[in-house]
Amino acid sequence: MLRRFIRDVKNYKTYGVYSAKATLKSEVAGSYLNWLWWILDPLLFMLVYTFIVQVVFNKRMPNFHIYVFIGLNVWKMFNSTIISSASLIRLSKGVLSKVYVPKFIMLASKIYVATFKMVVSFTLVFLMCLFSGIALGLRVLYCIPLLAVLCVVTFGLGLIVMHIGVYLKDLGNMMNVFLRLVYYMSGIFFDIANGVPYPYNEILLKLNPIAFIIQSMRQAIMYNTAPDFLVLGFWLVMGVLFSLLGLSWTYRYENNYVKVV
Amino acid sequence: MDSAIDIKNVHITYQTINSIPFKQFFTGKKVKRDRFEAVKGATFSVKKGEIIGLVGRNGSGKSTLLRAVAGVFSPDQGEIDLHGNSVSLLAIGIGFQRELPGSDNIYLAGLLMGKSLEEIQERYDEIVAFSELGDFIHKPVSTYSSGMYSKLSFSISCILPTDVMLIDEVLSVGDVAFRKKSAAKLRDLIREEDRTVIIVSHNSETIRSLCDRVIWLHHGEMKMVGETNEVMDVYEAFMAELAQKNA
Repeated sequence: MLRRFIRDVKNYKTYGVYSAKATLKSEVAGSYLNWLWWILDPLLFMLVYTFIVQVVFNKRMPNFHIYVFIGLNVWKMFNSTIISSASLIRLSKGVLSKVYVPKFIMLASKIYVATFKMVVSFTLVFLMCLFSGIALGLRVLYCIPLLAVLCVVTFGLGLIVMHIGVYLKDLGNMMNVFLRLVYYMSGIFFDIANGVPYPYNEILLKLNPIAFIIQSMRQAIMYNTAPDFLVLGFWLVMGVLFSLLGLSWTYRYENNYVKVV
Repeated sequence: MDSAIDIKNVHITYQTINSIPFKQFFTGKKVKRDRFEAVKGATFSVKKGEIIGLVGRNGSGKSTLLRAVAGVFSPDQGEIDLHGNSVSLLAIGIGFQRELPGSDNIYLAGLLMGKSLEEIQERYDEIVAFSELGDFIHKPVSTYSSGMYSKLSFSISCILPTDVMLIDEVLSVGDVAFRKKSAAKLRDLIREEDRTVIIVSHNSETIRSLCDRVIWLHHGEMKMVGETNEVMDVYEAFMAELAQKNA
């Protein structure tokens, strides 16, 4: 299976990358404001949460806006990929019923798009740090392995959701609710470590990969602190395992996808 | 002559486990698995450069067989060997990413046909010219009319031909002018020495004028294989009889 995977990556890499770039390009070309939305969307939500937490709930926290913005960006990348993978095969039917494409390529293309948007949006994080007087240290570079692990975990989970989504029509609706739950358990606009009672905060931060990655990114960017490598390694391994499971499923059953949808 | 396609005892089954609603998980109702065997044991070889016609009534498994040869799905049983030839399927109404402009779809379709970016770039202008789409090429495919859609799809396959071409009832796309142009182009392509072609058509005229041999599929089985005129005479007589019975 791995050999097939490597061969497929080699043969279809150009297609996947071109498809992702074309998607990005078409979004930019659509209207002038369009690519600004990649930044505007998390930025506006940042204002909403900052207003609610700081003004309505009257909780003061230094640089809260940056804190929220990092969380929102990571979440958006994960969330949009998983949601779209539930109906990915059905939506790509036009292409899939004409030629053979390894199905994971479609998902990888989606992740490429989502990650690119996230990286663009992240430049704003660094700008905001500059204005808020947060000195970025070298440990900011830990964002890179964190992003890599995020991509692997998203890829693995996305493959599994994509496979089930072929057979289960209302998976999209189910995922919406489930992801909302995960959203509130990821500490996007609150601090899990200090805001959730022990031992639940520990559990959440270790067993929810998104909570862990968001938390670690904040530490790396805002406090120049290294992530917990044990947990990072654990999620890398889990991500790879999810991917292997997803790949073996999609390889075994992709033959039937076009017949079902 | 070497054979370009070897098809051995191919069976293709559709399992109509339509994607199920979630409710069924809880009610525990057994998912009905209707099996429908669309192709029941097809065996034939196509020689390099040969043009094969595939005829039969609707639902006899012609398109399914073509899609299997194109690699969209693999057969449940049996073998399809293309001997490493590149293959493309030309069929009505499929094949594009609708939210992307036609220009990008030319590249994407070309890449999936196994062409390199440079190759596509080289012939890009030719494709656009042949498709007669003009400025629409930069608009998303979702804004195209069905005629424009087919024209683009047809142009890509014609200007970027593969070793093996599978043509599923598309000899009649677009307006009359385009149809004439495309038929001529296709004839040129098909007649090229090394090109191997399988044509599905309900038009006897087309089949008789183009094909070297004809395969008649009936309810997924191969009813007759042989010289074009020989098979077509029997087939047409059969169809005429059927029409009379139904009238």
